[in-house]
Amino acid sequence: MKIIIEAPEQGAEDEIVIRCAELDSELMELIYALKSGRSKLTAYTEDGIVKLSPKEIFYFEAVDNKVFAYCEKSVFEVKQKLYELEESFANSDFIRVGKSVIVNVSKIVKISPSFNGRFEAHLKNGEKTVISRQYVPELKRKLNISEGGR
Amino acid sequence: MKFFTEFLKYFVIITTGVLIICAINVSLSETHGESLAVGVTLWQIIGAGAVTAFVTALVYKRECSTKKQFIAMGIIHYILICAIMVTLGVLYGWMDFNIGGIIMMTVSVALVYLFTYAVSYISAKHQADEFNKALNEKYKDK
Repeated sequence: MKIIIEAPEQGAEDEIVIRCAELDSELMELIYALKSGRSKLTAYTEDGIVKLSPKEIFYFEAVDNKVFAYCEKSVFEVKQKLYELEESFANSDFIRVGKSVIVNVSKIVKISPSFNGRFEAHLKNGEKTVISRQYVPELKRKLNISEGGR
Repeated sequence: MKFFTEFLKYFVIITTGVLIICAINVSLSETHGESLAVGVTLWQIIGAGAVTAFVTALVYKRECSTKKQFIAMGIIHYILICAIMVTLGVLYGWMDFNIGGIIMMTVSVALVYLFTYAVSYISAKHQADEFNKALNEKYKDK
């Protein structure tokens, strides 16, 4: 892929133009990464409001009708519903792995088999989260693994 | 469709396990070996595999949220499979309906169980290895 960087005309806004024959999933992820790199998620703590970059978030979890964003060492409440976050982060590294959990795949160190056809995702902060059986096909798609293997 | 796929998966694994255990029984049995070899037809084995696979797919359709639930479900499943196999064993003449016969059948079911779990674990481990390889490739720079 050729990358051309040009200086804009005096006073013009910075812009990124993507010229491609086909808008594939890899390109969509790249576009999303460019957009989300600047967009922040509003989160709440007892001390007030903070703006979180998606890159900081390890996973989201719904507990008692509240949704929490788990970062490396801290937890914040977010006001969006889990399905809204799932839609917002559809073309990103985030993926639903359980009824109440959306995980940032880029924060997974390794995946190990668990009981009942499940898997366990070991995160970079030492936490573990369960990948339910029904979300395994989606994880395969995300990691570009075909149903019959790679 | 998903249920049917699960059913097929269990059917293949369980039937293979049953076949192996039957082959061992036939080889080791001195008194019943010949009659067992004659009596156990392929259709009986496949029939037993189909019934137990159906029950297994039904039981494991429900996802357990805790390890305790999973163990409890496993015990219930084991008892169900033993009951089915003892019934079929008596019906097909694979075993005598006495303590010895029941013990032989429950041990055989336990061996099939072990075989099934070993196959499932190897398959899951293989899948996990694939995930880890893909993760390393995709996020090696992050």
